[in-house]
Amino acid sequence: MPIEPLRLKKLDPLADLSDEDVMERCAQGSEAGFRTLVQRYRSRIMNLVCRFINDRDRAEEIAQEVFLRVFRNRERYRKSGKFSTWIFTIAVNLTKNEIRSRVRHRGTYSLDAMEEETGGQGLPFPDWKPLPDQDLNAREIQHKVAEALRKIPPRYREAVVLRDVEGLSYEEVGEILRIPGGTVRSRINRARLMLKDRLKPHLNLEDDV
Amino acid sequence: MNCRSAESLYSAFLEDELNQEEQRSLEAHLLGCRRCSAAVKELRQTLALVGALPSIETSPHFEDEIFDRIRSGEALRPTMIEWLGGFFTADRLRPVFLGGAAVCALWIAVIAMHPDSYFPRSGAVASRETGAPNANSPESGSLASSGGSSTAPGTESAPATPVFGPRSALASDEASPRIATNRRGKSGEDFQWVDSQVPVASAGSDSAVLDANGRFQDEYILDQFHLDRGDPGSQSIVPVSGNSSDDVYITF
Repeated sequence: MPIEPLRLKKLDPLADLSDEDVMERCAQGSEAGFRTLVQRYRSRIMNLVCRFINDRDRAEEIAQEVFLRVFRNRERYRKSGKFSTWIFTIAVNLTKNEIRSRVRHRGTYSLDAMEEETGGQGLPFPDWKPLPDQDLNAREIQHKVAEALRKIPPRYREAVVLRDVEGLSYEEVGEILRIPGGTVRSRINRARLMLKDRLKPHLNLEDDV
Repeated sequence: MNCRSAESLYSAFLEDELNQEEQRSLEAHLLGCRRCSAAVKELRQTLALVGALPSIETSPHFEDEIFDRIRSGEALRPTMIEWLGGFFTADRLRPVFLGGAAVCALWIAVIAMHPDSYFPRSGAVASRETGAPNANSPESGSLASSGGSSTAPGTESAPATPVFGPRSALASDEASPRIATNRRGKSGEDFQWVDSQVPVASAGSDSAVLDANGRFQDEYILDQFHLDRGDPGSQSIVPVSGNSSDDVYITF
């Protein structure tokens, strides 16, 4: 009977470490540590940026820049803070810069005018790939939700995306956006009400329990 | 609770963040308000839909591109803001801050040692500006002469020169310099400006500024020196400190 060769399972030594510990390794020069962080956060950062600016190609460039800034500033990271808060703060700041830049090129400086810039109709938002097992109705609903999200003013959108799409705590959202806790809650509640009003025609109250 | 205040609590209600009183109050409102009750249901559905949004994935080359940009060095150049920010890190700011604090402490110590040089008292300022001593200020007799007696009656007008630093350093061996000073009567309130000839060997803590003619423009006379005028019409020489051995006199 042939002996089956012993196969050693390759273990990732960083798999069980927290983000903060991995970042510390990265600060000490570990390329594997940085790669681990990229793998852990690439989707979340891409999601966040793309929900903000509604441009997939540009969102990917910004997401790359986020990780490059993490790498460049790895020695400045202090382990006392949460890594997720740090990287999301970088992402939000870069995204805001991008939005400001777009608004400036349009010759308007009002932040509320960014609603048109980032959420206007006709802008590409290829945020999902073809899903064969999804029925048309579900995809249509998702499209409506994404559209409603990009039509609310940026200051509300950023709060609700961080909370409801990324699942961050109110405290983290406040820290990232540098606004007090009461303002965070108020903006998120208001953003949700705006979304509700926009999605009202597509909601089915009979399904609700 | 009205609909408006209920609306502000919808999110907290759905996330179980209300306290007992708020929860009870909102539930009571929802039972009686169909509009708010429907709005809460719609909001719950909305949250479920937002949470179900599909994840937006990066391209397959995302990771490789990042590492390519790092290896090429092209992406590692700091931005202008990052470059400037490098100068304001805690490690760099700490010695700068400590050095600045030391300089400030030293400066405060110097000021504390010679407060009159840096902060002239208000009586002197008033006297200097009006050309007359301030009778209400007990300090005026002693301070008016520190650069402000040029307008005193009987004295030659000369530009006032601010005096900084220890006044004793300004003492000189000038023979019989003519100074202008004020005289205080015995009551301590009777002021009169007099023109005096004072041979000064050492001015001690007084100040004197030489004018263009090599004379003392003014001199600081301490309050405690109560001078006797002597007989009218005749000059009298009075040792300033009451001790003739120090060679400091005022003549009338």
